[in-house]
Amino acid sequence: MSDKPVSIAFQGVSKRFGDNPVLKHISIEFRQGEVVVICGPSGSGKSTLLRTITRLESIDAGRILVEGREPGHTAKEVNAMRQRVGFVFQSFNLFPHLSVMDNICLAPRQLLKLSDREARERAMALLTRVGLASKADASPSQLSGGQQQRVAIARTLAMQPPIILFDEPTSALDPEMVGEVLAVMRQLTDEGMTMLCVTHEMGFAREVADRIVFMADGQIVEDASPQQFFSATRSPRAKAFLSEVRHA
Amino acid sequence: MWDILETYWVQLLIGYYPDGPLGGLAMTLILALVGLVLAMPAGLSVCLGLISPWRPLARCVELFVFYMRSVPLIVHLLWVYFLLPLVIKGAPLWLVVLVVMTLFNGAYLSQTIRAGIEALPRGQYEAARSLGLSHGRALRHVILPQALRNMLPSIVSQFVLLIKETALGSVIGLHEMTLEFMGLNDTLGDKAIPIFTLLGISYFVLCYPLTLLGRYLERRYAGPARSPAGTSAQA
Repeated sequence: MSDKPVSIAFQGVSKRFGDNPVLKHISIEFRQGEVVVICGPSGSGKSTLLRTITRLESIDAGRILVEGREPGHTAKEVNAMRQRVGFVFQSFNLFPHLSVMDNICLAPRQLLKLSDREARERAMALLTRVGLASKADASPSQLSGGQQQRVAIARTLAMQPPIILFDEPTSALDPEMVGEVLAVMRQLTDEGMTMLCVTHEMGFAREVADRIVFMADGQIVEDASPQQFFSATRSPRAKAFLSEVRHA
Repeated sequence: MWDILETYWVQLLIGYYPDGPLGGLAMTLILALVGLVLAMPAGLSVCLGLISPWRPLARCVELFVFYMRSVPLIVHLLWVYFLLPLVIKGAPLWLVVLVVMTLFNGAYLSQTIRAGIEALPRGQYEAARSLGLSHGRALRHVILPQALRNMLPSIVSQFVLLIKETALGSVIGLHEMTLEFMGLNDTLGDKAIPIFTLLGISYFVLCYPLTLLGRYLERRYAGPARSPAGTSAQA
């Protein structure tokens, strides 16, 4: 894995909300094609870490390189970077005024200048992959939470991003729907995309992650392979966290 | 009352047209319609300025809105009445009224539209931007369609206000419906009550259907921002 080029690099990144530091001088690299699960207690800064990559949050110090370069501060460069870094939200954020199909087609039509037919074909292929081909013309509100999240993943994939970030994609779901979303994410791990997933699904982490990053209090406490992480956790914070999620 | 209507309906409807200027109900209607058509883009533009990521612009537009909302409509009208002819030689009165209507209602509508935007979940904008859409595209394809739909009832009630505000044109001597009725009152001398009752009824007939439309829209689109059109009452 270590011979692959660096996909995302944090270099001394700090971020505070008011008086509250949420990221404390973070430095870490993620390589191309790596599947990384980021976990930690709530308030540890893991969602913020993800959000700073695509500049949904600004940072106060340090640099974040995406594919080797720091996107400049012009809106154009940031937009171009965002096309290459997909983001899946905890709350799905489907556009309720558009059909499932149009949710997926919007960005490819607008940004990749795909024709109507190309965009629809691409969307249909993605919907088939996430098992929702029959819902193309449905409105998001007619779908269950799990289905909405699968559409949201399809919408993100439609831009064919080499990097995809998942921010607690199953935390807003009823327990019986978690599995279907994880199944879709599991499929994606074979495609060579760089995937960073903030999640509490430790079973998923153990099964598909190349690396597990454990955060607490705005710092990276552990950065290990799943095997190491689950069998030989060193830090007391991570131990406490693991015993809690296991009993949950 | 009916005999007044029977005798003078043409004058009340179109003024002294075609021999003199168009006036009466026709003028009021035209003002209101053109006003409606112009107020919406004006409100939208002002709103885009208000929420612009470029702060100096947002501050300037905010000042404009603040000024428009803090000064009585009739004062704006008098001001433009004297100012506009300096900019456009021989500017007609209807243009004065139209300019004021557009700016004034644009300022108010911008606030309504902004409220609609701010009522949407933050994630909508974030999701649009995360796909790589620019600020403008996110607004156009994701934010505004939802905000405008949610705010439709308020926008319609603003339009009702606009129709009624055209009556102020009479103050600067524009021959719209109100001034026409006032003129008739001067001509006939002792018929003030029936004449102004008729005037009131005329405005009511113009505005009431819009009020009803507003109420209908409110019922139809009421509810949380996430509910899609037409399905809000189900489940």
